[in-house]
Amino acid sequence: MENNGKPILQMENINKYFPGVHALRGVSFTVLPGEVHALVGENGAGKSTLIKILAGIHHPDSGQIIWNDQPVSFQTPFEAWNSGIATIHQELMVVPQLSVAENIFLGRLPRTSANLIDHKEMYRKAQDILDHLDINLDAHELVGNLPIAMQQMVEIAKALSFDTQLIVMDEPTSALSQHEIDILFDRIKRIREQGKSVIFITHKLDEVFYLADRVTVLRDGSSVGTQDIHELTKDKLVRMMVDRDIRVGTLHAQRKPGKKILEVQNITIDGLFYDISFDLHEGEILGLAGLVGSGRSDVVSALFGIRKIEEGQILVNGKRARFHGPQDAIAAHIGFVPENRKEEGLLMRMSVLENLVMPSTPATSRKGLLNSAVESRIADEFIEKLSIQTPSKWQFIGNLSGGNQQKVILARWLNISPKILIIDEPTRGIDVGARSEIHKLLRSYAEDGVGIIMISSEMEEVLSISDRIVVLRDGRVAASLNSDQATQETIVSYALGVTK
Amino acid sequence: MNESNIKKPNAVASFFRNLSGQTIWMVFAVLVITISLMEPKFISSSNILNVLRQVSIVGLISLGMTVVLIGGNFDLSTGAILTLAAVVSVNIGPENGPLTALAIIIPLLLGVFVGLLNGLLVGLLKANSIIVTVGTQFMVAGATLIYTGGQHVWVWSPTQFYEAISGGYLMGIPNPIFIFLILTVITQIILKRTSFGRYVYALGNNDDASRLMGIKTNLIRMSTYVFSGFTAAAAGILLASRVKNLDPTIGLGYEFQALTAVVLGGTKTSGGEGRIYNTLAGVLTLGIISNSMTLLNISYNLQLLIRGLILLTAVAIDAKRNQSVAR
Repeated sequence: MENNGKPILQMENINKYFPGVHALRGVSFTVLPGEVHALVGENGAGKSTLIKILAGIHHPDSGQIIWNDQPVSFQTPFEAWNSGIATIHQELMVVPQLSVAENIFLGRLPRTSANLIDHKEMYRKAQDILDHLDINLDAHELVGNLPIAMQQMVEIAKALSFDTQLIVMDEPTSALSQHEIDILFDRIKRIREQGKSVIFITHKLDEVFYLADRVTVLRDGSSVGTQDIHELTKDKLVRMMVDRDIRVGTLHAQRKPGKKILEVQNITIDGLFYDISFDLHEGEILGLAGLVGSGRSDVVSALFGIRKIEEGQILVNGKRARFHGPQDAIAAHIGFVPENRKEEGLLMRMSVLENLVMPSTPATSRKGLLNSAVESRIADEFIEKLSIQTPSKWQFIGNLSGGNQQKVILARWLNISPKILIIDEPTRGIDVGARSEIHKLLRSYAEDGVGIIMISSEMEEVLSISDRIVVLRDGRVAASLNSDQATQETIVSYALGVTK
Repeated sequence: MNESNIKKPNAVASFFRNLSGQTIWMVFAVLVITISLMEPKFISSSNILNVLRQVSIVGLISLGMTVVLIGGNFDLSTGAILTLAAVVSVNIGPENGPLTALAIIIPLLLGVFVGLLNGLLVGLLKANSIIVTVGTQFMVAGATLIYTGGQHVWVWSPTQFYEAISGGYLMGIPNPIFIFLILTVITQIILKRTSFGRYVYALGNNDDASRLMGIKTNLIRMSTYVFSGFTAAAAGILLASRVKNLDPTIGLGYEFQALTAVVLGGTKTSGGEGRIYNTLAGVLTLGIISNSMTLLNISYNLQLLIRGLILLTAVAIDAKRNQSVAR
């Protein structure tokens, strides 16, 4: 390992804006030849955006990328691959219906003199690459028949077939067993020995310390710093990842919780989450924290009757709830604002009014006939109360901004007089102004006695809004924290499994 | 790179987008005026009533088709349902009061039943509705042929009431037109004034979101097919009352005429958007085009070609509108 070598890659002062979000704030980042460089940070810290820029998927709004001493600007992923930077995304980009060799050479299959595909040459070259990597795999095999770990190896082989000098891997171990991880790490070490570099995104700190030479930490779109692995301890790394200034209760006075309205007792859905228990009180905002994939969204989908629990029980107001679908949860005055507004929330070609009154239609209609006078009044009331910016209540909701769309969805559930409100990522993709309005709204409804369960990947949001925080890890409750115990550091430690 | 594509003012796209509203009525008006000038016979009251009577059968099917399409699905089994209903109705032999009642009720029930089957298959299998309803189309058409042994069915002396379904007049206007218009108004009320209608639009907009708002999406989807089966069967009874001597393949292709009319009326083939009064305009437009082609002695073969052209044009407009709205 040559830590003093000249960088092979320099990303300098990269800025990237998405609508309403400053995703990368002047991030600088270097990779040395022959190093494994770990990129860590919480969800939403900007890791994926950074590597997508490197892969030619996103384009930076400002800043410079210097690759092999040359400034570059990749317009397409193919350009990046051709320049020697291969990115292996979490969602593997293999074609299951094609053979290993065809996947490796896809888009640049070797040709014969008659311009037909030279199968012999293709399989020979592919087998060479596989053997060279010591991957025990037949190049004729269909990729769809292979386990995920092997498909990943095919992507690595493909990367190396391009004369690649830098391989970027986005959470490569998330779908692998321990044994498969060992094999992967062995190959990564071998790639390093060949003088090639690897960027490695992971949430698992053990992996960082096992594999990485250097670590760069991102937080809120900024680089916190790059450190040699020898200078780091786990504690120190966690401290770099979190912003210590935020505490629970900074934005609202402590409330005394009302009576229990929801008791979740040992619920399990095999493969998603296990033995989850927690309570929710009237007037309380319960934050569900944890990494993406920790089971947060699955747990709330069970509470709303979307998924059926296999074990355990859910009590609403002390009575056992048996929800066969969302309609039963709604009848029990539970509202649910889903994570993906566009896919699961909006009726794009319908009006603000229709989007707003949809779940309360059974309550307002009489004998199946709509009551347009009442609906008009409801729509006007909420448009005013939530200051929803729309030309009229008949406007298509697709024409509103993200923040106003989210307010309509919120209003939709506030109108069923909810006792429990579940919100998955309340302010994703929403500008700062609408964000704080939504936060205020949640708090004011909690003060009126609504029990709120909020999932958020943004630590600041979790800490500033919640009265209590349940941290999930790998589908289990890792911790239940009161406001005086919860700091960003404790939450991240529990979410990552680095408890002292 | 993409940005510039989006920002480019697209006159073509906006023209097509505007065509989605009431424009089909203008197209209709322009056509009526043009054809009247070309062929004065067209504007005679007997010919107008004739056109209306002719379109009432396709029109009835189009009503159900509109509802199914708004819900985000297709129903291509309606031509076969029409045939089955017509054949069964005539075969019951409506020669006295009770038999006349049966000749109306049983075909309608059969239509509802096939609709139920369509809805179940599309909902439970989550299969492509085009394929499923082509499947039921074959099954129903096959069953109809088996039932009749492939032979014509007829009724010699139907009751006056049965004759009057298609042959009678009310205030000087043929009954089929009344039946079609009344059902049009009822469909409009169902779509715009009932919670069921609202759920149909929601379903066509976003299946997942609808379910998360407590809408029983499978039930709604099934109901749209039941309605479509019902209107197709009603169209079949109308046809039976008029023809009385039926070839058991008589309804072949009706579903495509209805589909053309509905898409011409601006109902989106991807669901979630559509207006029944625009379907009415689509039905009328298609009707006068057929009628004038006959008046102008255009051969059936050429008519078929022109109809295909109209369907493709309507679909192209629909697709263009999708692109101009998509973000």
